[in-house]
Amino acid sequence: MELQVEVRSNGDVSVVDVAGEVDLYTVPRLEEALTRATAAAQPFVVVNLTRATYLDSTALRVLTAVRKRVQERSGRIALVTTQPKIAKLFTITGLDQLFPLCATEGEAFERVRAGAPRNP
Amino acid sequence: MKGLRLGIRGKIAAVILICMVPVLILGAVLYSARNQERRSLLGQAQQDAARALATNVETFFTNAVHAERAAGAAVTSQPYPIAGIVHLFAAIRENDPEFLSLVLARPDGHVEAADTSGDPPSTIASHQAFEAVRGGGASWAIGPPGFVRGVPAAELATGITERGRLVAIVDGIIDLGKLRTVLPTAIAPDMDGVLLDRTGRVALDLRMPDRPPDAFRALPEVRKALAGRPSAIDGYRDLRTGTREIGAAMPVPALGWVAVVLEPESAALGPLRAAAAQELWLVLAYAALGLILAWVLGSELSAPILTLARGARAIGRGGIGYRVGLRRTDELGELGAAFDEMSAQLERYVKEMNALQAVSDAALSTVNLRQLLPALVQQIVSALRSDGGTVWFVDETTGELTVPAEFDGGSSEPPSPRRVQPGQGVVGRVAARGRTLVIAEREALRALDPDLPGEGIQSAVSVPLRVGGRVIGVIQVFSKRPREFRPEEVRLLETFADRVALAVDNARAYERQQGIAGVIQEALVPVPSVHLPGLAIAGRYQPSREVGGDFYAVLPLHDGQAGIAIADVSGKGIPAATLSARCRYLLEAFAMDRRAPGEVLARLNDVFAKGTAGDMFVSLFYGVLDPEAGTFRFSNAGHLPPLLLPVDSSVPVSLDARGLLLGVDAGARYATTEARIAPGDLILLFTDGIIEARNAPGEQFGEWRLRALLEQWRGAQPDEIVDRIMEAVRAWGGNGHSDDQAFVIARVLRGATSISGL
Repeated sequence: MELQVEVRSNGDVSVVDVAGEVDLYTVPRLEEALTRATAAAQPFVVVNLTRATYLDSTALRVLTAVRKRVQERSGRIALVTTQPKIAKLFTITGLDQLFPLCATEGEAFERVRAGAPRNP
Repeated sequence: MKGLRLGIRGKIAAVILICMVPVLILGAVLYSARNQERRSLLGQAQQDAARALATNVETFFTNAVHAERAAGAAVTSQPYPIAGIVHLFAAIRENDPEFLSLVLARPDGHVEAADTSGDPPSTIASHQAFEAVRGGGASWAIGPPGFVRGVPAAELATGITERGRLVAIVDGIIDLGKLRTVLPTAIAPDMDGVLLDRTGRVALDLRMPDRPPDAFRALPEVRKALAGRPSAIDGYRDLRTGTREIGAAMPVPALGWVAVVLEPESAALGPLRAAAAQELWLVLAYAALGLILAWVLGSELSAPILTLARGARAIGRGGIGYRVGLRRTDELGELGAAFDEMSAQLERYVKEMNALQAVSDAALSTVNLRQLLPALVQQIVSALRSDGGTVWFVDETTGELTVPAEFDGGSSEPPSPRRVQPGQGVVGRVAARGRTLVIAEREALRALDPDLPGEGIQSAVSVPLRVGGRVIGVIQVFSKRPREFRPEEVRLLETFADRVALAVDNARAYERQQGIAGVIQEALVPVPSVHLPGLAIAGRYQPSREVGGDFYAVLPLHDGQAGIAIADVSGKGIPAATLSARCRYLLEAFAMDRRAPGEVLARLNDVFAKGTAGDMFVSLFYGVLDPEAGTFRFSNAGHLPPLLLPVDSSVPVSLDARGLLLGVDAGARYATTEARIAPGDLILLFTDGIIEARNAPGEQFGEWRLRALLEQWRGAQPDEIVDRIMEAVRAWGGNGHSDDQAFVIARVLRGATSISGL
């Protein structure tokens, strides 16, 4: 499935909706969207992966790079996913230690706004 | 479409109608005036006829009066014997047959002589005329009309005077019927003439003797005429026939009578109406002609416009190059020609753009650019409406120019010399000077290329392929007809050449890079034939088309222990390959230090987290097998957990140990987990390239298939198992896999064996 990425805002939080497959060929668009979403001086970002069907390692690379940038600016980032496959990718790679994985967008907003621990 | 069709025709028709309105109004006015004029002329003619009738009647009576007077005078001046008088009267009647009788009487009423054809004078008339003359009122008088022996007649009395004294009266009965022979000359044959006496009664009807005597008495026009004024009779309906008649009434002053002419309205107005109708039809035909012309002109205008609209729509739908083909000599024809010219131009532009775009597309694809070159050149040849084209490449060592083998057997028939020395011929010159050369004539071509073959080429453009001031080849487009190449065509070819040059240069750079990466990659493949005690180990590494960063390693350690590792470096190409190499050598170095696997990973992570700026990372599983102790101690940095198929179990288990990817977070810690192993156990390490291999519909190979294969082939040697798995994965995904595939299988043995199949 072709990748579709959209950026919208919910108050002070930028939400990046990711639908479809992220791989070597489509990752530049995710990167571009994340760059837009993290343009704020202190970015609060929620990446909604609910409709993402596939992430490869380049997608993870982009996400970790974005996380690094967000942290440097004292912002926060959280991911939304309900798919075991996607969640498993984060647990296998240990990236679930770096990214709060939330079941709902509302939960992610809370995590981002309340200042969830960066390294749980 | 409908609006347009009605539009032009309707508008032209409306304009012409509007223009015709004054003409139609004028026509109506003229028509009305002409009608009145005709009507008035008709009235005039009828008046004239009536007047002529009146005059003739008057003359008739005047003549009669003269006759009477002459007779009377003759009698009174020369006394005649009575017999003589009668004889005279008879002679008069002979001469003037209108007299039915003549009587000479004295004013006292004594009849001197009478010629009455046997009738007694008293029966002839009312004597009203006689009385009127005897009374001295008039020199002559006429009595009321009546009938004598069935003949219309009237009394006419004339006084004879001597020296002012009335001495005798000649009283005659006039045969009015005689007027029938006199009067018709005054009126047209289809007219009727009627004579009315002073009371309005019919004295004589020329054509209809049986007309009722009182037929006209009530007519106002007749009354008017009786009063002495001519009048027109505008609509008299004959009561017996029902015919409407028109005509004129004219007084006959001497008699006090009235002459009337009449003609049927239909006969009188028929020609007039026919003429009017003719004129009306002419006007209507003129209007109809105008409308037909408007319609024809509208169609004439709208049809080509519709054709043009169809053409514009066709082009809009992508029918580039559509021609409307309007063959006309007017402005619309000019528009059609301009349209077709625009369409042709558009088609040319699209071809040119496609040719240029094709180069860009080809440059993006990673397949061999040279294979695409003939097709690309064919596109530009088509865009330039030429017959063929070829590309020469400069040999970097000899400087010679050669046509690549891909152009062999093409339809473009390249020139026969396939190898040109620098500076020689057209192509050699273009390469040496780095400038475009346009030659329109064969003679000029021959002058530069004496061995130019046959009659093939007449004109050619040769453009150098330049990269950063260096000429790497020449592209030549030629025509088999002598022709000029316009400057914009030459510019197009130069743009094309620039893109081709860039694409070729990129492709070469890519090939060089791939070559380097390949060299690095080769260095990563484990050295075959490492002898390890108590273990049978086999591994495979299948790089994808682009060099990637998967690797596995088998490390002989101290005390009969062996390290096995598998890793996946994110990214592709040289950066991935070099990181992969660093990772492998560091792993080997750290592993030699007798450290626990978790510590080895922590140290690797520290190095990478500081060194890779967080934009590259490595997933790595590392474990140490100790066949003697029956342990497998391992640690995992974000890699897929390997599978352990114990000899006494039917299903494999995952060797779970959580840990963050290497290079993401400096300071990450990695736990070391220990599993018990027994002789016969199988351990399978793999990368995601295996389980994520996709078949044509896009379905992934999946870990469950890998597990099933492991169970199925658990009895085989590791070497054979890896072959089976590789076969299955290849059968699943074909050869077009986009990711590196690596895996290692280790079996725990009792004794020592060697690593095979590496």
